[in-house]
Amino acid sequence: MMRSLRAFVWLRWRLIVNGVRGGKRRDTLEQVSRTLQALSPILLGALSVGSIIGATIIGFYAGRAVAHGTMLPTVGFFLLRALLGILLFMSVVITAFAPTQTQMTSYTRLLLLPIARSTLHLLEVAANLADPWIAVLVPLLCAFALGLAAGGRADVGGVAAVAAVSMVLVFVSLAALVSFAVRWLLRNRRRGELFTLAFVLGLSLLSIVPAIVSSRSAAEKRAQSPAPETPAASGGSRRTRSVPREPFSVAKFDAALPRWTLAIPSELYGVALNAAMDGRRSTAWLAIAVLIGEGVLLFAASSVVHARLIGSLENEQDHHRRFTRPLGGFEVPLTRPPVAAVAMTYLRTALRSVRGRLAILLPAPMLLAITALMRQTADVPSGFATVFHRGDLLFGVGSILALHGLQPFTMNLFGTDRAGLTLLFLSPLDDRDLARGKILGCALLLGVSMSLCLVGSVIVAPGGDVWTWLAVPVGIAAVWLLASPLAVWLSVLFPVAADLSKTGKGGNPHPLAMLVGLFAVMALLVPTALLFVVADFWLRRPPLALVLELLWLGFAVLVAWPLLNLAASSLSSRRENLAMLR
Amino acid sequence: MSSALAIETSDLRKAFGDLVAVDGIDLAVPRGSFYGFLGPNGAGKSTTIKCLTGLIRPTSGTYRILDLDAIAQPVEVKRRIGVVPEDLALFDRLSGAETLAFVGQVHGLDAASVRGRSAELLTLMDLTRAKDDLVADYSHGMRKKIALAAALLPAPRLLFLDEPFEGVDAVASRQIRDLLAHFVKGGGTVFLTSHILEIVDRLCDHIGIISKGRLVAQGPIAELRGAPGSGKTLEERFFELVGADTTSAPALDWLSR
Repeated sequence: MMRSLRAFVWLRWRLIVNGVRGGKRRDTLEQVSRTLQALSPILLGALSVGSIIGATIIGFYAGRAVAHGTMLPTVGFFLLRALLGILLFMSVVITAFAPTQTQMTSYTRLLLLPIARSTLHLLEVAANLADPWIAVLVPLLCAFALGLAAGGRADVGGVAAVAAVSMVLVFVSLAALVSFAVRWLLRNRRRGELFTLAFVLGLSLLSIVPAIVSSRSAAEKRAQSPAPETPAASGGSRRTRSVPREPFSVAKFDAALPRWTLAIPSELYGVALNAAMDGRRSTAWLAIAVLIGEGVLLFAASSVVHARLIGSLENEQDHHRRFTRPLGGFEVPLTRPPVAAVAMTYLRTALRSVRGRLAILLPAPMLLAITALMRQTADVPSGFATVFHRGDLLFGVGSILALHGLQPFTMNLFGTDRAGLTLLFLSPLDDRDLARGKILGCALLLGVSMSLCLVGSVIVAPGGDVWTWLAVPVGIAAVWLLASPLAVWLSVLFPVAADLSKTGKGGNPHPLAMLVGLFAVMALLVPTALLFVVADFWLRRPPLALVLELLWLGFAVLVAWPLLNLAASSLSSRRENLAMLR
Repeated sequence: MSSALAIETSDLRKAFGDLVAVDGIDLAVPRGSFYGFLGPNGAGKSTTIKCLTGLIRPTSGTYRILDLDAIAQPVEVKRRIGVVPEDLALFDRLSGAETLAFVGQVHGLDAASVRGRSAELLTLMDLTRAKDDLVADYSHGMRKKIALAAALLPAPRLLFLDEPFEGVDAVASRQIRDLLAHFVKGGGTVFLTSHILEIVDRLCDHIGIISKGRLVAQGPIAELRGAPGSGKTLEERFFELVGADTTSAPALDWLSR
């Protein structure tokens, strides 16, 4: 058992080190690119060490302060409960998210090792101790218990120590259960992609719910409070009378919680510590017993799912037949056949990937959710809030979201093709055709995403001036054209072999390419928006908005075309690096 | 006047930093030949194919493919060749039929020709039922077959095949062998790498053997095997030429108990 544990610790360590070190570099530029890529995990590691030391110190002093009475026990325990509750939620979400972001460990190799499946399960559960939030939580809880004992409350410190160990058991078992369940889902490619798509879409939209709820309650409070003073009555000031806020009370908060929340592990931890502090030892130990029971149940459930995961006869490849609906030919009007073939291939492969579907599907619902939120916050459309009451402007915001959502494709034009890139390089395509095809493919993707935003905007805020509705896609096209040479350059200089079935790092472009691309698009959006504002808001001549955006597009064509050819010419010297991309 | 050689290299060299993968080889592949390119693992076979097909640039040396300077006219060369590389080079998220349609369009074939040729190739490769499945859902053998179909679709005059029989079932292997023999009979040239010496022995009329980046032998297979009556098999000659010493391998006594 210990031998296996040592081997697994070593395996994890080498995977981390080798992940940072990377493979062979072919030239200096590739070395620079990989070094930059490795910086973020190194920084994250450094931050984790700092966090662990910080958590230990804070935990110890907080425990001592509670024992000495310089901090109210209810407040100290409440803060810990809240932290544990948030971390429980986070550990479920992040653990479920992780396998959808990067490649999983191959189980086949592990199953071939002479290790009992129960030992393998135990090792996998224990491996969760290395998760960053658990790595920070363990010293915090232990130091808190130590602080309580050091402050003269050894009895409470003892309860806190046992409760801490029980909490860690709950955390690692829960993380393992979620992780095994998600990995079992992802063993089947189609099922996994569907789960990833639904999970990310749902999570993105759910993230806006708290803001909508809080803005709704704020609106209700405003409606219930007395009418604000008129500017004249308050001496011309537009400030309204503030409603005094009630001080926060832990007792009131606890009273408002439904009974079932007592079963949440973080709440049981709080009950145990509060009871121990009040001298109700039997209640404290009962809460800990329930906490341990929950941990054991979660461990047992994780064992069942683990057995299902490794016992699954399915291959990691999905061999179920999946018919694709033929999408017709590869033709694009007014485009040469090779360019159209590259563009349509890019469009099709993107539309069939999780990342591509997210890029297409996410902007429109996000736009609608933000609109709902902003409309609740501002009753009367004024200033920036006007955007959310005008369909054409909403369409503009949606188009910007779509433009940014396509970054995994636009800033990594070649790395997303994987083995398909070799086929492109083996085909009789010159550099210009290849670059133009890729840019056209991205433009088609952008068009699909923008069309959904257009539909959403028309539904939410129909009407308005047809000129400004038309000016939006023209302006976005200008931005896209001007950004495209940079997209080709960045994709050529900083390519990353991206897996578009993954939503996180595994499917991301190079961080530098993403950052530069983001700023470039933002910078190009400024003149586009300014032209619109001048014509529509300042001069109040909507047709002029279209004229100005058309002129801007004309300028973009004149500038972008030679630059795109220049960017394409850089491809020939980097073909070898791109072809070897893994 | 066209040369009698389909592939002609002169002092072709490819280095990756300090590692010399291909060390000045002079290949001469006759037109209409079935050329087997053999060598142990890491000898430089795949690197040579990548150089010849334009995937990587040689460090030095010159080479001509079907009378064209492959460095000066890469696109023209690619119009005339078909390649099944080591990693098969397929888009995972295109279906088999779409892969063929893509290749056809890039090669400038009209839609009717692409449809006709695709249907024939899919039938031949026994992929008609799976033509609308994504390549990601294909088995390894099916991927190999669709990659070969894609290489054949534009009717190339020269085929580069890197381990075409690896992972292919016996029936498909036989079909592919017959197809390639038919292709060579019609004047095409095949440049093939394989680890299966029996297949090379049965199919190829010319072979080249590479070891540690150097071409150690080249010529008609009968000549390389040795004089008639020498009793040597291709495998024995191969071991001799690459300097493989099977007798000095560690005995691994701890394996026998």
